[in-house]
Amino acid sequence: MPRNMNNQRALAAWRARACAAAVACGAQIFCLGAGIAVPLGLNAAWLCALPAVMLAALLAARARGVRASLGAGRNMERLRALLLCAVMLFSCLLLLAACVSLCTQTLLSHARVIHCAALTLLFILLAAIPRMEGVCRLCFALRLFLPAGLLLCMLTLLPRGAVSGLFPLLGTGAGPVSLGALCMLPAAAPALMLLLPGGEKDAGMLPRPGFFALRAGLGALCGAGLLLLPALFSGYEALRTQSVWGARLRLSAVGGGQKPLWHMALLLTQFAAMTLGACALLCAAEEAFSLAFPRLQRRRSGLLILAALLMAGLRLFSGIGYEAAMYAAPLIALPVPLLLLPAGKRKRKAADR
Amino acid sequence: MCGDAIMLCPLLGRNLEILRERLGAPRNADVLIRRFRSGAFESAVVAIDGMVNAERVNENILKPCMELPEQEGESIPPCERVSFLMERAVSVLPMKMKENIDELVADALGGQAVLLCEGCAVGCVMDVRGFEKRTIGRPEAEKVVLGPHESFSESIRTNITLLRRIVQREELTTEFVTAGGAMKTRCALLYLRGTADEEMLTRVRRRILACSYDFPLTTGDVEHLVEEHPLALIPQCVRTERPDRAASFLAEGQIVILTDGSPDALGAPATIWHLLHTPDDATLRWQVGTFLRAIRLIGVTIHLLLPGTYLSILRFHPELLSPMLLTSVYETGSRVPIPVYLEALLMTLAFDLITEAGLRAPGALGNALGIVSGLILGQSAVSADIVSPLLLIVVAASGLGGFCVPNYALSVGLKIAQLFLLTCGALGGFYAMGLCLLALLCAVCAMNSAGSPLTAPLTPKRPGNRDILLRMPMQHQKARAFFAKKHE
Repeated sequence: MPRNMNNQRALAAWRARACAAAVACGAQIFCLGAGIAVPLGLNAAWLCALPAVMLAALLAARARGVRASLGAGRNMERLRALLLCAVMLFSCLLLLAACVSLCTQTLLSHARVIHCAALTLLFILLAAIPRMEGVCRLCFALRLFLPAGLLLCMLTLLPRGAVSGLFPLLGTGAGPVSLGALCMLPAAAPALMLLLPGGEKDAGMLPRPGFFALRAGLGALCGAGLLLLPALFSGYEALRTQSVWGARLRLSAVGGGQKPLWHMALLLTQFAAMTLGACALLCAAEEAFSLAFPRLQRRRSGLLILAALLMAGLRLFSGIGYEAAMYAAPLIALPVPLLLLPAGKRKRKAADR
Repeated sequence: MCGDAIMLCPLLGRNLEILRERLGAPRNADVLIRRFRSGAFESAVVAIDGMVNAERVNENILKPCMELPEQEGESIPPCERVSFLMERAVSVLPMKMKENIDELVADALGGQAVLLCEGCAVGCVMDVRGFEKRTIGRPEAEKVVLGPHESFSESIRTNITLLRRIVQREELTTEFVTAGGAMKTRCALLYLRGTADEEMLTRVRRRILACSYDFPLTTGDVEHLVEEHPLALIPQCVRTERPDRAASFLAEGQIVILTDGSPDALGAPATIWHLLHTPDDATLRWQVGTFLRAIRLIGVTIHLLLPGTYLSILRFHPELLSPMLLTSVYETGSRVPIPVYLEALLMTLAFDLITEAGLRAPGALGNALGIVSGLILGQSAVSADIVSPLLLIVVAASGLGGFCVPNYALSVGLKIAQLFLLTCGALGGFYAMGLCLLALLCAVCAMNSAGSPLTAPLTPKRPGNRDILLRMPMQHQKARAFFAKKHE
């Protein structure tokens, strides 16, 4: 096959992966933002999300430098692959928990939480069977529809004089906003999926760091933009009193009663982004798991093991409340430095010894 | 070695004995074996009655050979006698020299005549096929308002000729491959040398040659051999019964596969958008073509999602309907004794039954069936309060959307997906439908057709001809499709 065709295909594959990372980042930022940043910063929740947006872009750019060293047969690299798998899995769990929370607050308000969780996990698992390629291509296909759909629904549902809800810009104050920003940083973790080496067809020309940074950053920015909604839609005091994560995800749309179709469209678009992000993260976790345990790759045992772990996590959190998953989010940050350490530096350190 | 059943030997008698044994002669009355004197040596012709053109065999093989003078060929070495006859006497154009008895038997069964000579361990296979075949007719499933009205027939040679009449290029290559185990089927791979991707060609060829089934293969069977996802609901190759459409596949860089005995061609690789194209898109103006494709996409969406959406709204999201409509729906629905999911399932299955029966019922009865089932049964069912009128409209609209799909295999696959979505809508409303749609779309996006992505060029993005998604004006169609080797 001619080299330029090979490069074209590699570029298209990386573009699709970057879109999947962007969707996952945007969904994660919105979910964690609604859960953590909104109670802390209220109408300044979108400000809390901006550092996470920048971090997502940086992580995506940095991932390019350390990609090839994962799971290269050595124990250290296998450990790194496992850590990446854990980070992806936990991020997936967060998105699924958010999804279930929102679902039980809106579309299936009479359903039991565990049934909703099982239904969600079953279909996410089915969507992950075709591996990363399927969900990445779907994310690429919807890369314009998702933000455009969200924007259209938002603009249609906005009440008059909504802009005044943005002020004061700092919301509850610099202190709580800074705390919110710090707590929001783990939302950039999905960008780490770009650490994975990719498939055979991705083996052509590797794009520049800016390629990934731009896409992950834009996706994360969409998620941050959605956090404007709590300020624009309703009095922020009302949101402070919403104790359930799903209720804050629902954004308490005032226009929901008068424009049910648009409200439904907004909800469905939100769900689409969250489930796509969760599926992409599950596929990424499976790939990382396969790097750590190559022998399990062929029979897809890794996918089943990870699905079982997700189900156990969802079951656990359904008992103690899904907010517990949200408050555990900062744990994602712990393995990140080890994941981003390039293989070259570690070899030099080993040689120096 | 003489007496070895695999290769010919120099003894004519022994060769004929082996061939009689293999073909079951004299019990098998179809086998024709004619020994004759051709100059200074003996020869024989082996053929199957009804498969060869008897007049051509008599006039072009037997008569010229038998009219040779008695001493003619005396000085020719025995191993060159067949070549001598081919050069001096026989006037048949397509011919091949073979020495493998299995191949000679297969060729004889395929309608070719085998010429053998005394002292020569090589036979000559001559194409004198003359079996009865259907003439070129009109397409049944791909009718057009304006455009050619020729369709493929069951003869592979006729089909190749139809394509060569349209694609008069020196790069057009026909490769014959034989697929199957004991019962072999002849297939032809047609492609434009230098345009079709070699890797794709190797992949397709390998898959067909690996077939070892013992029954006559049709285009559908060859499609199952070539496709990469046998468990998928939708086809990954495009079938056509029109030579003009198959010629456009060749120009795009696709490989066209013809199967002997099947009146259609297979184009690979294909995208899912090819399954929604019709020849009318090309023969009418580009604006009309684009509009019709958009209509078909809307039809597919309605076909897939409408019944499940109806069920979801009724069971889980009634707030989406206006109070007046909701009241009307509940009033009519309250009189129906069965649950709404069963009602929807029964109506959908009834619609599919009527469609299938209409296809199988002969001639005029098929037309009457549509009127009877649609008007009388539907009206009666509503009057008897077995189904609600709104559900009837929903199922009918969904069915019409399904009829917009030009590819029959795709429409049946979508019908099955519709049932999944209907069930999900009944179980979990829009949420479950959305999740099911996510799983289906991920599966479709991950599929490949002969190595090319099925959903390209939408995703992943690929350069190439701007005629796959929408029908663009001729001046914008400057490049071939993305799977061609050259994109000029």
